[in-house]
Amino acid sequence: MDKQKTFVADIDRTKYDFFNVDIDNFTVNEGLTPEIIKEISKVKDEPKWMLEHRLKSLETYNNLSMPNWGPSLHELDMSKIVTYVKPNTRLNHSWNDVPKDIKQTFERLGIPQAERESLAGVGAQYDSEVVYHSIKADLLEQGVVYLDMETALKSYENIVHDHFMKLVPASDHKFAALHGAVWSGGSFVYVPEGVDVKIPLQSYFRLNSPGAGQFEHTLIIVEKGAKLHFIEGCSAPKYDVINLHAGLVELYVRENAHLRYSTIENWSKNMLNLNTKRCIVEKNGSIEWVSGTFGSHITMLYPMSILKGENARSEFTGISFAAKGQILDSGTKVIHAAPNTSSTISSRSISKDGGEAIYRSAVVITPEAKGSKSAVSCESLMMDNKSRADTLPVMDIRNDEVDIGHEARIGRVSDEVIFYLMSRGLSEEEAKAMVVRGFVEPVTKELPLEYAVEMNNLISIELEGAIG
Amino acid sequence: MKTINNLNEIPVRTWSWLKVNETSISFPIDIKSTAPYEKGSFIAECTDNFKGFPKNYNASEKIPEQIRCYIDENKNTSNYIHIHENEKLSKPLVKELVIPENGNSIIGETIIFAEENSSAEIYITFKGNGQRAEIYEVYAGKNSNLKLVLIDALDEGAVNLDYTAVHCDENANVNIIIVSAGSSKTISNCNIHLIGNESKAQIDSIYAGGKENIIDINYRVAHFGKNTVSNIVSKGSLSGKCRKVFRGTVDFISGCKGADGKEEESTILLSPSAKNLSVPLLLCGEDDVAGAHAASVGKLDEMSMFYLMSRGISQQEAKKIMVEAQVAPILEKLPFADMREEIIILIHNKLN
Repeated sequence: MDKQKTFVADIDRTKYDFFNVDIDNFTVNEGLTPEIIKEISKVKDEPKWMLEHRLKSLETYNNLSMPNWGPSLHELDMSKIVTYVKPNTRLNHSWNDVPKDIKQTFERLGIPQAERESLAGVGAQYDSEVVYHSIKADLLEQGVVYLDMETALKSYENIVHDHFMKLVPASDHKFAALHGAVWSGGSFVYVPEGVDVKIPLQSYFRLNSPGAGQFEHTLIIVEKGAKLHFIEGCSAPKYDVINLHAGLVELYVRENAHLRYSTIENWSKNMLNLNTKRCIVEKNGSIEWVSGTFGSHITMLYPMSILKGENARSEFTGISFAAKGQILDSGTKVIHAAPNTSSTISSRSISKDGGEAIYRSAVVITPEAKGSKSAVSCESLMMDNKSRADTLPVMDIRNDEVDIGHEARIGRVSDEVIFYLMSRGLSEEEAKAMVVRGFVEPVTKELPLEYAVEMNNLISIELEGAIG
Repeated sequence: MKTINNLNEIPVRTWSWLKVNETSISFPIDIKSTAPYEKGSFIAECTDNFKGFPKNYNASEKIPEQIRCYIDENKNTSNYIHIHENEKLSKPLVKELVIPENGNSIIGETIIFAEENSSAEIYITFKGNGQRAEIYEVYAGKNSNLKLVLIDALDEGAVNLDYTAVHCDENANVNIIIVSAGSSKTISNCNIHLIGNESKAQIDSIYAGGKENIIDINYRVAHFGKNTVSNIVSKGSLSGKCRKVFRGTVDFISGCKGADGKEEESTILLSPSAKNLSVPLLLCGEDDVAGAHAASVGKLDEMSMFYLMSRGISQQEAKKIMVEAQVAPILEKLPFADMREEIIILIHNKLN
């Protein structure tokens, strides 16, 4: 007799799969040419160096080939992706001024509510532009800057000039080059020396137009001894055409500073999420990545930490949930480039209904990084035999004063564990729910409460029958 | 020189900047046809007598065509070892293949056909200076028990390439032990298909590298049958400016219900300039499996070193003891004291 499988429900997307009639006031033609780039730059009224950067990046983009590893990106036709969609509104500082349909979108996603309750600042990006931006007054007084990238480019041009795409140059890979050419929107955060931002800053991205691309740029500088928690969330409604997200995140963590960067991505299943994130950490600084990947058709996302200063630390906690039609290729990269640096990586994935979850990582220890430590742990849970869970870690170690450990496991929910829990008085459903919750718990416990609740909703788990 | 590319290709590619997706090798073209000198307890038949494996054999699909062509063109040795149905060899088959002074290579293929209910142990050591390029194709029939041990004891300066492809029928039990502690550059590949239900495979690997040696390893066990069991264990030490890449893959193919696959690697680093790359892959297309891998890399445990040295043992001796202790669990599988001793000497020569 066939054993019945655990049934894990799909994520309920009704909350995200609504869309508004596209009434955007300015779109560029489909495809990518220098003329389009010039048009974007002109509309944004950018300094000359930024236009030059865009054009040079376009050249690099045309010269680079597609990656020869990872999931197939054959569905991507760049000539069909509208790179820049400007919503029919100007940047607003009061929620009441935001146009009604956009406001409804964000209200359904709970953004202003989240701000009212606890978040220090909220930036909300709709298609290519930031539509709403707010930061609490006391943070402003301490000199914290939280702006959309376009405004930052005007108000803090020197800082942007010195940091923009310096960590991830356009030559890094094809989609970094694409980003360099067509980037639009995103957030700029500057935390001055010694300032501890006690409540998280939040940014939310939403892509509404069909066949559009979102290329937001996030630049965060946390000065010496300062602390920040930044949260980004992403979603898009489902259309039949492929949408592209090629954002870029550059984080600078100075001496003794600390940054926690949390992401919950729930793009719809027509999204190619080819995002690049990188952080450079100086002496005694630390970066913590918390990453939840649920949506998208294909994700290729590997936040990278460069531990440049002595005693710098990085921590990566990631979870991905791959259901039908999804290939979630995610993980992290850590470069230990200074003595006594340390990193920990903890990854969990769940695959069901033909979904593919791939964990991919690289831990590199350079000859200078004496006394460095790294501990990697990754676990995959397979819900059926139509799905896939692959683990592809690479360790490149170039000095002998290191302590490196790596562990990975793949498996299903064990019958014995269920039997044990049931013998202690739990019902079968409760036992299974407990095991799956326990599996993702290392990630949920790292999230602020409202996000943990959202994540629990995302993994709305229904169980029936025996685990098999 | 003839260069052969796309060797030891990783089953799923990753970032190219890590330079672990594949490797290449260069062989001289002036191959002397002089056959290697053979010494040992068995002389295998020529592969010309081989009538072909059962049709379901496809474990050698990963052997690049270029390697086959190169070996076909330059072959100077070939072995066919046939263990008949119900035949259980009471004595191990032991052989040394030595490159003679008037030769410069061991190039050939070996076919091992272990029929149903058979059992055998085969030990082959390679010696001399020059290049070795060999293919081992192995068929382990139902309920068979097979141990194959290949020891690269070639001289410093030699170049080694071996591809081993193993098929396991129902309840077959195969143990492949590969020692890479001789040549300056070695490319070692082993691909095992656990086709039959309940079949088992164990790959044990010992490596030691010094100077500017290159050790490039790619071992994979693919679980097709139900309740199949595998274990890849790799232990080694690196000194000098040696570069080692270890790729180990446990591949659960959809349908291999109840399969259990593990891999484990531990490396001792004895030099600040050695480069150590590890790529332990777990590929999974079946839910009813248990897969695990673990890797640890580090220098010699300071406490153990301190203890040994406090008992009057020199630092050099203490290092030797620690390295020996690391590989001891694999060496214990070799029944000959002189063979174990020879491997220990090879390892020490590499590390000094």
